[in-house]
Amino acid sequence: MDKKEFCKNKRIAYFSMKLAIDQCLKIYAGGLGFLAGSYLKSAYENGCDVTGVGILWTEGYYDQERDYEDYMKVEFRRKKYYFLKELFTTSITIHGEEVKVRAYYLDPSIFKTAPVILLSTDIEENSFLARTITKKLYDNDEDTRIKQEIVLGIGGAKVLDELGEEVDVYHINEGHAIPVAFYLYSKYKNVDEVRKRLVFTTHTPLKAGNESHHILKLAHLDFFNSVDLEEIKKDHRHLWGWFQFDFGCFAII
Amino acid sequence: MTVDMWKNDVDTSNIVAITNAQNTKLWKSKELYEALENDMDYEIEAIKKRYKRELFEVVADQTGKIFDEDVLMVVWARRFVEYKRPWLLRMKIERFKHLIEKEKQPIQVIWAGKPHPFDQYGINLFNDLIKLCSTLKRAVVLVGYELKLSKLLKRGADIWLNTPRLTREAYGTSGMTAAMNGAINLSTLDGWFIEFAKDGVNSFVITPVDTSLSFEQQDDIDATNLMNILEDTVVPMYYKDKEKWLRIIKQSMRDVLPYFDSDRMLEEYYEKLYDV
Repeated sequence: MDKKEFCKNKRIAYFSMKLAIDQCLKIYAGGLGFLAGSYLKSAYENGCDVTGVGILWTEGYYDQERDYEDYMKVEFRRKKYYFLKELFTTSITIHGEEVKVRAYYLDPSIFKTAPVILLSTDIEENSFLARTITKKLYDNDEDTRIKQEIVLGIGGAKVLDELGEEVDVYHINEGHAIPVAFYLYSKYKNVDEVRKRLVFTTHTPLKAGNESHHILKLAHLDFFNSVDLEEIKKDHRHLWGWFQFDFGCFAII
Repeated sequence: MTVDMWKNDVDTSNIVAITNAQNTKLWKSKELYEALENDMDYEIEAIKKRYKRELFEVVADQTGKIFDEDVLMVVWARRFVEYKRPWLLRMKIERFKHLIEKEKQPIQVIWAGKPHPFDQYGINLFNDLIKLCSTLKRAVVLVGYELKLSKLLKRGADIWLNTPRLTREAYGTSGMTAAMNGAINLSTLDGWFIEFAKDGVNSFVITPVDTSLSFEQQDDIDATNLMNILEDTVVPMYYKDKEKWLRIIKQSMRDVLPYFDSDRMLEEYYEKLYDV
């Protein structure tokens, strides 16, 4: 693929909870995934140096089927993807527990996309609870959703580092992967170093459409990658209390 | 709106707007665009009919109803959430039934989309429509709205209906890809549609309501306006003025590209976002 001039030599890591790449890879639900899938295809076609980072949802969103009387029925089934290549397993800390994160690789040649790293905690080495983290896209449990964000943000950035991938810009699609900011902060110990590497896109500029969690809950689950809360409080007093996702991202980036 | 939300809170980040888009290799009907370039209207009509037949195989398979390629096909397909109002189309139920059941110039309707698996309210909405459709000849609800069905629906639709309550739609990207497949958008003026729509030129616009009214009132007005547009404009044009119908399809195909092509979006990401 010929590299377009506008791509220059920038290396982008694109983090998204949902990716609509192909019918058979069921890791999306709606518009956000469709947008991310289109982006990864265009990145491939324009020869841009983009790596996608997402979650390998064991059960996907869900299978929508019908019951005996024709009404809809929700089915959760384990999906298998023999076209993904298993890379390696790393570990991160979530809620004080060591959680193994396995990285899989989607080769660009398969669906004509930028290369994609997909993460799973649903592996034998993990506890039952840790395995549930990447089972369901849109899990109903608040703690699980926060843990998913930690896996994507911190797990994703860590896997890229262990792969030796040089990244110029970390792009988080919606606020979910914001823990990547705290991973980078732990690495560089400097807010400006984080800011110049991190960008964020939101597609839901509405308060109602935005996730928020109490900052102490987030800290308890290791959302901040061991960055001291007092340190966050010092720089971002206004983030204290409820951590509102978009707002948090704008304040940090 | 966007900037207002954060204006008192944030002074550190630089906020820029980059319009969303969709990948053309994945979505665009190449053959329709070829017909457009070569000015072959009859070819556009023939391709659309073939797309409808392909879609109707799925309809028959899932529901046991055989649809007619000569009947106006209205599709509402997206996630089943409250603010997108999947029920708006059947709110004026007598008028809706008449549109579906009448012998001359009827409409066919397909609903599809997934409610959240733990959202009983959304699942009930979905099942209510299944129940309603069991009494109607030309309306169905399809399950399994994923990439493949999405493409079939956009290809087979004459009207791509989107009914979000005003100011609530984040984007509504399906309208872009519907336009890339020769479907005409009929929508409230929200999300991407604000940047695209020219009423009666490349789409049909539901006149914006006064958003200071209660949701009940807004829904009622939008439902009435939707019925009016279907009865007075869309249905007569589809059956009696094919030339004008095709003109709108073609204008919509021209207007959606290249602006809503994700190559443009990618380039803007590099220029405005990644150049930090």
